[in-house]
Amino acid sequence: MPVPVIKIENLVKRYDNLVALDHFNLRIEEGEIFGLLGPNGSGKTTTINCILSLLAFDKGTIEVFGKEMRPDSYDLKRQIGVVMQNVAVFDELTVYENIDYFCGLYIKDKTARRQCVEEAIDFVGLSDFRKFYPKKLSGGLLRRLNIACGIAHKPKLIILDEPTVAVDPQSRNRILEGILELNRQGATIIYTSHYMEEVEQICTRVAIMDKGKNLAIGTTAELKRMIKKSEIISIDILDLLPEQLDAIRGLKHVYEASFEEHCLKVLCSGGTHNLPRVLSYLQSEDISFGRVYSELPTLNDVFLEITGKELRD
Amino acid sequence: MFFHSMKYMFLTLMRSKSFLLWCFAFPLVLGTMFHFAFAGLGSDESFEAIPVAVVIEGTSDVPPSSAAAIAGLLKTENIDLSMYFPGITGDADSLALTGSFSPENLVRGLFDSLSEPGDNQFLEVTYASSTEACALLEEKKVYGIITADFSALSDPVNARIATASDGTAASDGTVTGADSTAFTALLHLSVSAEMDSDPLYQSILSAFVEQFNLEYNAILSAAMTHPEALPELLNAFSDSMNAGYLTQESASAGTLDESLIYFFNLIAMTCLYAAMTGNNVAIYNQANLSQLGARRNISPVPRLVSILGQLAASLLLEFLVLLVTLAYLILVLGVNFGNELGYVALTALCGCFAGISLGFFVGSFGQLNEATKFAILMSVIMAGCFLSGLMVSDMRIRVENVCPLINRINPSALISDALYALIVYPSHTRFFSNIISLLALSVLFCLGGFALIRRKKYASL
Repeated sequence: MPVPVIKIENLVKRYDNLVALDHFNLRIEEGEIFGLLGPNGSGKTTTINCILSLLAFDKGTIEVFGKEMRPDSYDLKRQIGVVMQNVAVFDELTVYENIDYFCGLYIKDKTARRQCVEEAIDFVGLSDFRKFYPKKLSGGLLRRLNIACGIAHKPKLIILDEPTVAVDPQSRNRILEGILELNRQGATIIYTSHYMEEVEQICTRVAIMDKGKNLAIGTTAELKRMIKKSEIISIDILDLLPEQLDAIRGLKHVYEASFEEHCLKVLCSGGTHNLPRVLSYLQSEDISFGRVYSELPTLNDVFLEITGKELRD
Repeated sequence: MFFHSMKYMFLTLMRSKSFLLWCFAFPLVLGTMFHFAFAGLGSDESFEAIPVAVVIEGTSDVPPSSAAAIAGLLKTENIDLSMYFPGITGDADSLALTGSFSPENLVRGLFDSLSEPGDNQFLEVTYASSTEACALLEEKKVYGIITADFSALSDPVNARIATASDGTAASDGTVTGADSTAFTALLHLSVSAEMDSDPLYQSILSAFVEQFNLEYNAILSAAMTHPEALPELLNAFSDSMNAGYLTQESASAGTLDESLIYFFNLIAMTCLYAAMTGNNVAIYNQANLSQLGARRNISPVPRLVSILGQLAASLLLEFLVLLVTLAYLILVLGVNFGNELGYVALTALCGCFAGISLGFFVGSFGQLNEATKFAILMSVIMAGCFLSGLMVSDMRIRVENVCPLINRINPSALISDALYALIVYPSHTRFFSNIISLLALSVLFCLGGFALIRRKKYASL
């Protein structure tokens, strides 16, 4: 059995009376792009900080590349790259100097470092801005600089903590493509984000956590199968009688139906022929209908169903 | 990694507007303002003679045998005593014969010459008994008491002369093989000064007494061991006595310019402004205080190495800035920091070290944010500078009277006092005392800072 890149067992972290991580377990294999999802305050960043040995924890073990992670585990740290949620660069250094500085913390050899820096600049598309100071960069460029500073030394494990916050679609797309490229080059990636479509787009496996616990873990398809809602059918109808709505609710696999503003919304769990079944009923009742939509559940649906819809801090 | 950290810290500081403003431009501007504000503060003031009480103790006349021996010595070597003691006239024979070579005459002659009215008057002497002198000091009518002590005169000298008389010494005036310690006790001046008087006057009196005793002992020692060299030695000292005390007075009069105190404190303040960079080093290396700190903490570089590199860069740059500031003050504004510029630079270097380490310690302490720590640091620095005399020149003296410990642990006071000591005191004892205190404080701050942030996980970020 291969050694996992990350292995967390029974991790407990308390902030006074608040339990941030409650016997949290996680295992990430080499070559994965692992998505860590959860609402605000769910413990994602705490988990990452514990992995990086920045935070002290109360109980549990963390292993990185099969070794216990400690503040002085310099050999392990050399193999890790981190892109923080907030941009962490020096305003007084140029793009090139910033990347060179952070890369230099990992690579001593100047020639090798220069090559890494150049590659990182090309990778994030900042070649035309190498002599710019961060204050002259747009939000998207700044994010890309932040990423370049984290990955220039070509780490085996890259942790990206919401790297696309406040980034325009073009830059976001560039960043996501970059992450996929890094993965293709052999890096294992841990990715946290609130953008479900991003996670769905790039992650091979996803964990959904809340209140310090791992609620669900698997591929996106596996996660979608875990939730009740498997299909949402929306149909434009001029009018629908209450008894007709009740009849629709009684159809096989339908667990919820509503009619508002001339739109019938039917939620189904399981089944493969839900739409023909609903349309048959409408035709049998001689109910005329207009546009018809059928949507499969998204990761967002999975997320909301697992973590609930109440507002978080 | 050390040099990598150092290089980029250097670059970062060089391009930091706040650094350039606070550590470079501000001291220059303030120095220029001081220059115009205090121009001529002391230049129009002529030196005022220092009021002192002179107490003569143990004034028994020199026994005839001793007088004869000394007279013989003076005659043989053709020494004109009046050159050394301007108030004494007459040749050696007549001195011995008439008995005018009495200790009291000797001392009075010396002090009368130093208190002759005129532009070069050095002292304003009041002869008094010990009790009267203390009363004068308490009433602040004098700045100090100079005690001329002849108490050790009689027996040892007599004993030595008697021993010498048994041989050939007394007859020809040479005293070979004599015990010089007997003669060094012939006259000893000591000074006590009022604690709340101007320390400059205290130091001048101390310097005067120190120099007198030194030269006097040297003369007597030479008379005992190498009498043939005595005239040359006396001439040399005579020159320094006739011109020396007064010249020294003139030099000291230059340092009386109060504006110098402000410039000393300006240098101290500039040194301590280095605390800002030390503070930043601490903050930007702690994951719970800054994102950059977090990024550095997850790198494979030992934190001590990284921090030492950054502190070294800060120290180097701050020191360079101080040198530029000093050059501006000395060459452009004409501020007189004395002749020992090497020691002034040493003070600046140690001051910068103290400033950086102070900032590093404060930055390492607790989880307060950068702005709060900056505010705390500025408050500490400005309070320190205030107590050392940046705003009120004699504040350090007042503090010395109320709580001397503050002056011992206030880096600003130590820096300004080191610069002050360089100009005022002939020896470097006080200067090095300040420097050592400054270095000790700096090391303590650094060790404290390292202890606070060394290789730790954080409870929260």
